[in-house]
This record gives sequence, structure tokens and C-alpha cells, in this order.
Amino acid sequence: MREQRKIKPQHTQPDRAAILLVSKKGSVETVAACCGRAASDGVAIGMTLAHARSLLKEPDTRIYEFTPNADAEKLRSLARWALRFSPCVGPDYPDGLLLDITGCEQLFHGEKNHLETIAASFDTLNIPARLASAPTVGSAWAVARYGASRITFVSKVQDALSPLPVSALRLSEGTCNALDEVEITRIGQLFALPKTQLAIRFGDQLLKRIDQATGVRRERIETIQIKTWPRVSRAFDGPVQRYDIVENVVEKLLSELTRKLTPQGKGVRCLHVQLQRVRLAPENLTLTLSYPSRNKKHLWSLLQPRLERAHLGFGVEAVTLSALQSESLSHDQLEIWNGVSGADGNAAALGALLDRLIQRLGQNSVSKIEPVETHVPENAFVSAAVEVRHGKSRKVKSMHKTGINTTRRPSRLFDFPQPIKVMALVPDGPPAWMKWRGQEFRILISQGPERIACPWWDESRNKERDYYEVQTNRGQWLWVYRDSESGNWFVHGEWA
Amino acid sequence: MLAEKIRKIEQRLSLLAKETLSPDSRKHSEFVKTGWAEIDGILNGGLTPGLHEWLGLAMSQNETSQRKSNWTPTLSILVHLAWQCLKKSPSSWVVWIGRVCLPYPATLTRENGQDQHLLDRSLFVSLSDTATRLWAMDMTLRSPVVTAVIADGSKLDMAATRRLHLVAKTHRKTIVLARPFWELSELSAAQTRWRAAWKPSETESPRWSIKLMRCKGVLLEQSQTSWILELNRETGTLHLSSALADYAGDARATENKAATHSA
Repeated sequence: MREQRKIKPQHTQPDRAAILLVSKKGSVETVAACCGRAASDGVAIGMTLAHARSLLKEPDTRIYEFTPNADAEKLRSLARWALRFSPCVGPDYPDGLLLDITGCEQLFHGEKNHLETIAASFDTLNIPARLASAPTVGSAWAVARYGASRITFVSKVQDALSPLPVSALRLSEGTCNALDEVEITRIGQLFALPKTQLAIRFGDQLLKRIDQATGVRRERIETIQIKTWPRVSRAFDGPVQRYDIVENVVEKLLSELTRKLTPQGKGVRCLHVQLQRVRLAPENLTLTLSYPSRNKKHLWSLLQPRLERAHLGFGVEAVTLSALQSESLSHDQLEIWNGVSGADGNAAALGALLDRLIQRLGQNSVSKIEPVETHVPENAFVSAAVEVRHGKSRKVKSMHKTGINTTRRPSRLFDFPQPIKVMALVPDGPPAWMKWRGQEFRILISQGPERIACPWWDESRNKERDYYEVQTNRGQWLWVYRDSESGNWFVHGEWA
Repeated sequence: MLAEKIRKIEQRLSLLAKETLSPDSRKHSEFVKTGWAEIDGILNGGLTPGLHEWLGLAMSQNETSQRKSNWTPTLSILVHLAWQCLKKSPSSWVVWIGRVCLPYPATLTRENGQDQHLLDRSLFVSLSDTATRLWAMDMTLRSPVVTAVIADGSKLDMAATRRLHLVAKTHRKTIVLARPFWELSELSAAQTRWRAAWKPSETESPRWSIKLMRCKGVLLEQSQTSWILELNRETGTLHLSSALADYAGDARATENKAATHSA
């Protein structure tokens, strides 16, 4: 197996300013990575930014924030792009790619042409890559980073590695320092020593790295996974600006896509439509469904309003429909029975209803209610998105396990407690008279109090409330409470 | 002469009602029983598929001085009817449309929270715009998984109610609209029309007096049209108040009314 290594590290840029990537910890900014020019001026990783600035000979320096996660994502994106050179490509974090090019050289007229093509392609992306082709991953890694030339072909691993420094074996800094103490600086010196001695003195990691570099121990490339999803596309002869034509094509493609999914027994959960526009960025429409569906009529009813709002620009050249997410679906026989027989039919019908409602009203307008473990009435229930599953919807939490008293709760709870004026016969007793919304009421019957305490950790709320159920002289039952801290009275709900 | 003519028309109507609405001639499965035997008897079995309206709560049947921006739907009754619809088809869904008629979720449970079937099977659609509400009602009534729609029916005109009634009837669904009491004079295509008011009582439970204002195909002149409903707090159910009337409550209400008038 021949591996190839590409890196993009310390490359000098004679006509450009030095580039520093800086990470910030508290108020201290340190250099996380630097270009070749900065490195040649003496800038090292871990150095403070002020120190690095003082070392740089050119005052013009470009400083960027170090974003390792974003860099890793970019590297994965680059790995996907590099799949055109080999079917087996893996990112080597933080700044390299590993390609298994075994057998691929025939497609590029030889190994030399293959590597030169890769180098030229990276040049077009403005990435100055260094490449090495070697029988093992370890040797390719070492030669690409520490070799003399930009493109290197390794045939004899030991000969290629011997002159390189020990750090080319991907060793930890501690192991490198330990080797340096005994004046072992080149890999060739390690080859001359007995392996048992090396393992005892410097640990298993060193032996493992030597074996990986020489091919004694196999090393796998963690290949990037490419997601493939069912897709259909159609290219027009020229730019099309008429909506009816685009709609017609999208509708036909939708039929094709659903037909494509049928043998797999799957339905669309997330549909993506891309309209390739002339001299403009593609128009992307994404449709997320509550329940997988391959019912063309339903999908089209959701897609058509979105398509009508799409901007065709100077014309559409091509249309692509992809089922970005698809899930298993029950068999077609159910549709004969109007699609609602059985639990799957019910779920599909519920999913279709939710899709239509959410499509027009928005995600937040359609909800279920779930109980929460709290005694505070306004917090005892929360809105939750409806999840449709095969067979049945998700069961909400059991109420009696939450400890909420449901027998003494009003049928209507106001969004905010409404202040009232009351008169009580005894201090802190139930009200005998109240004034609410400008009207006066006599209290005929009152029951309570039911004391509800707010959580002690919630400082924004009042701590305790004494709730009373009162019947006014007009027959209306209200849920009123006295705030224990302020002594004020409020109406919180009513039995309507 | 005229009296004779009217009698004939009445006879024809009652015959028609018997033919079309008697339990023998219709499938029992179509009815949604209200759970109140007397009322089911008047309705010839229960609520038929279609539109039913409940005019919101007023302090008394004659009260008109309420501000028109502020009304209370008959939530306890709506919850009761939702339970009844779900009893008919337990695997279906009840959809609540409109912010004003979303009840406090604790009342969607019974037996102190142990029976929460209605809470599990309820979908809530928060809307206030009339046109969108109408669209959502129409849409949900057409869904095969929905058994009943409980919605805010305020500001709906005759055409809208007719549309809803026809859709509900076609798809054998029940739609219950909560409307403000001042819309009593509005034309509507509802199968039944009810009005509710708070009823003072000496018991510990809330009471409502309800009145059947209209029922298509039933001659209400010959039947009882007013009842008193009482909430059983322990079970969370609504039942007809016992035949022994709460005279003390009635007397107090009369007294209060008199006091208000004299003031």
C-alpha cells in the first residue's frame, strides 16, 4: 500500500505579510499557529502575541483568531474535495490529509503525474501543499513534513527516514526531549538500537511509531464518510424563467424521487430542492416533515407554496431534488385503505396534518402540552413540539408522578395574575369583598388557603402564595391569591 | 285557517324530525353523546356530526353590559365535550384552535391526573387571526386522525360557519365553536346553539346554567331547554345538577339582581 501525505505548514510567503493565529485565554493572547515567515523570524507556538510581534522583522502582520473546530470542519471539507484523487481520503488533524492512492496511479498515467496533478490542483485553491508518496502512512507523514523537496517519492523507507529528526515519527514532546538528552536526534540512530532497549527506556509509543513507519505494524486511514442520498436532477437546454415550466419539472422530479424511494421502503423526512440559477447563487429550498412520506400529492402540496416564492433570477439552468433525510416507511398496501388503517396510517395522517399546519403557521404555533414537576401553576406545563413516531406519538410525562394537584385547578389561568382590591373580615383571612376590572363583587363562598411556595432558588419570584377559591355574588368562581411578601391580592384564574 | 296551516307545518316538521333524527333511522356511531342523559334525549341521541356553538359566559342570561373585548369561553363544558368525543374514538386526536379557548392543561386530566388521555391526545394551535383560524379548522376537520375540533369561533360569519358545518358533516366530525355571548344575534349555520352563564350555588362546586337556543330538526318549544351543570372537582367531570333545585342560590341571585337594578 502506498500512502501519500500532504501538509500545508510552515511555508514561506515572500511577497506576503506574516500570518499568526492567536488564541485567547483570559486577557493573554498566545500564538497558536504561525506561517513559515514568522517561524523563520523566531516566532514559536505558545509565545505571547506581544513577544511574537517584537520578533517579527516586518511590521505588517496579519493576526487571526485560532478556531480549531472551524479548521477541522474545513479540513473535512477539503478531504471530501480530495476524493477526486483517491477513493480513500482521511483528514489528519490539524493540517494534513492522508490518501490511499494504491492502484489510482493508472488513472493518472503514473504515480508522478498523479502527485503533480494533486499539487497543481491544490495550487489552484491557493494552498501550497507538500506531498510525499510512501509505502506506509508514518513514512509519508515524516517525509512530507521534514523532506527536502515539495514532492517526494519514497521507495526504501529506512533510507528515507534515517536522516530525518526523531520528531518526524510523530512522537510526544516528552519522548523527543528524553531522546535528545541521550543525544539521539536522527531516526537512523533509533534503527541502530535494539528494540527491546528502546521500549524499556522510552516507552511503547516510540516502538509503535517506528513499527508504523517501517510497516511492521499496520496503520489505518480514518476515511471520510460521504453521505449519499437519493437524488434526481434535470438540466434545461437554456435558462428558464417561467415558473410554470420549473414547477412542472419539479413535480415530475418529485414523482421520480418517490419512485426511487419505493423499492427501499423509505419515505422523505427532509427534502432539498436546488435551483441552479444563471449568474446567481443557487436557490435552495429545504422541507422538513414531521413524519416520513413518499406521498407525492402531500409533498407537492407542501413544496408548491415554497416554490412559488422562489426567486428564479435570470433563469434556472438545472433543478436537483435530494432526499437529505429518509426513514423507513410501512408498505404501500396501507394506502389502499385510505392510508389510515393501522398505527402507521394514523401516524402518517397525523404527520401530514402537522406538516400542513406548521408549513403555514410556523413551528411554534402547533404544540402539545407536557407537565413539569413544579407546583407553581404558571410553570406546571410547557409547550412541546409534536413528535410523530411509528405507531403512536410520544407519551407525555405522567401527571400524577409530577405531584401536581389537578382537582383544585381552574379551567382558565390568566397569562398574568390580575391585581384586585379586597376586604377581609379577619387579617390574612379570605376576602369578603373584592373589586376586579372596575366591578365590585361580594364573596359568598371561599375555600382555602392552599399555600404554594415558589422554588427558593428563583429569586425573581415571590416566595409564597395563599390561594383561595371564591365564589362571587354573580356565581363566578375565581382563583385568587394573596402574595405573602407584599400582602397584595391577585386573581390568577377562573372556573369558566 | 292560519292556525290549521301552522299545525300542519308543525306536524310535518315533527314527522320529518322523527324520520331523520330518530335513533332507529340513524347510525348510533355518528352521535357524540353529551354524557347528560336528559340532554341526549332531547337531541335524539347526542350531538350529530357538524358544527355546534357555545356562546361564552355572561354573568346572567340577560346581561349585555359586558365589555365586548372581554369574554370567557365555556372552557369546562368544552373540555367535557372533548372527553366525550375522545370516548367515541379513543385513538383519535382533539385539536384546540385559538388562544382564547385553550384551557388550563390540568383540567384536561381526570381522576387527579391519573387519566390524562385527553391531554395526551390534544393538539394546540395558537392563533388569533380569523382567516387563519378558519383555514386551520377546515384543515384539521379533513384529517382522518382528528375526531373533534374545539375552536375560537369569534368573528366568524354565516358563510364561514356554513363552510365549517359542511366540512364537518362530510367528514363525520364534530366541531365545537366557542363564541362571545354578544354574537348571539349573528347568523350561523350551527346544528346546535347553546348559551351558558354562571350559576350561584351554595355547594363547593362551580355551576353553570345552560340553555339550548337552537337545534336543527328538533322543536324546542315542546321540550326543556335549560339545565344546570355542576362540576365534580374530585373526578373532573361535569354532570347535570340534581332535580332538587338550589332554591337558596336562585333566591340569592334574584336578590342580587334586584339589588343591582335598584342601585
